[in-house]
Amino acid sequence: MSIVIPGDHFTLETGTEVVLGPNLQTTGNIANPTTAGYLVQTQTGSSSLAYVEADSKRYMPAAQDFVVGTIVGSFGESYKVSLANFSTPAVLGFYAFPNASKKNRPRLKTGDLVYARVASVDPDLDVELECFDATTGKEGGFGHLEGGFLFEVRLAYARYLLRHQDAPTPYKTPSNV
Amino acid sequence: MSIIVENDPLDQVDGSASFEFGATKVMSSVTGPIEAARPRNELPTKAYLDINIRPSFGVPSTRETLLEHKLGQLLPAVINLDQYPRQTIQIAVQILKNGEPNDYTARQLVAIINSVFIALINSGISLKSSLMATCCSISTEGEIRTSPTSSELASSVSHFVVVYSIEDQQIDNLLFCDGLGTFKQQQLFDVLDRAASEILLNFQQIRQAIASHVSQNYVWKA
Repeated sequence: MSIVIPGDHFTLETGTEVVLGPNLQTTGNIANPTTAGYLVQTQTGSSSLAYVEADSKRYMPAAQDFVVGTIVGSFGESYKVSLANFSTPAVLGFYAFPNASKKNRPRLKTGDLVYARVASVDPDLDVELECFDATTGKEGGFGHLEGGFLFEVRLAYARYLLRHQDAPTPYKTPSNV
Repeated sequence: MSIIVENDPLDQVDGSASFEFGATKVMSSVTGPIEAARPRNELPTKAYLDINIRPSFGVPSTRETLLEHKLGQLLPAVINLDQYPRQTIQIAVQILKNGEPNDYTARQLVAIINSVFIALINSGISLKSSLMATCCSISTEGEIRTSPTSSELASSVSHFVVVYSIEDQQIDNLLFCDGLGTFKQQQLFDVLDRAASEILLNFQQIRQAIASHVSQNYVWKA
């Protein structure tokens, strides 16, 4: 894999269906990286995938990402969830939980942690989160997180941990915290 | 020009870099995109650039405001500001070593532009192209000198700060040119040519620093 920086143009395969991932801009079939990182290009069948794998500290929400957020408040029928300090909070509706109804609503307090999926992202609208599995509509491990510790890691490492089940992790809990 | 670049020296910001060449050293940090601190800074279609430059000693004066203004003119040409509507991108610059008399800003502006570019790369903010700045001076004999020292600047008849964008490892567009003093049209063209070849030569070092930082962030890939 090669390291690219902004301005390093490359040509996308023509005649195939190209799926563009993060950190790329295109004009015609010329792609331009928008930040420095590893250029990844893979071919599966008739479609090809291109993206730039880049590390950063500030999380920018992308649809279908799995995230851990902090409840920072509620308004109307939804919670405000902070995904990164000083970023615009995301919105988690009271009905975005499995089996939620007007009578059976989630009880989360300010400061609670939730594990959620990013449902929709539009730069002109609030980011929306959901706490149920998109295909089954069941819980799927999402929801309120109780006990344990929260660690902040760099985004590249967080993605690496999500994709690699056998990734080396610090599993020993500090005893004198 | 010997360049020393340090990537991400600061922990609490999204991206930072220090840039040192000769007697001038500058550290820059980038935070963003974040929520606008004041409603009047919320632009409906693009991100607001909040630039702060601190001098190496004393309190910020009109000199720093002038530098902030010049940086603010250059950056919208390289940042995809329209990708972050209603957000703020905070850029804080601290000059560590002046490296030139207080009446001059050329060397510091070069260090500021280069360090902010590397800090922007480290923060992951969407950029249109790469860029690099350099400075030149014209001596009393009409000789062009790249990256002039403090004494060379003081004895020059004019000096310039030139910024080019770099695409496909080639010089692309002239993004910024700031000249002070007396010079002829042909001298300005010569300065632009010299600056272009100087940037092409020195950008390799910046590219190397960025590439080694990227591979450092992905230690498990090695």
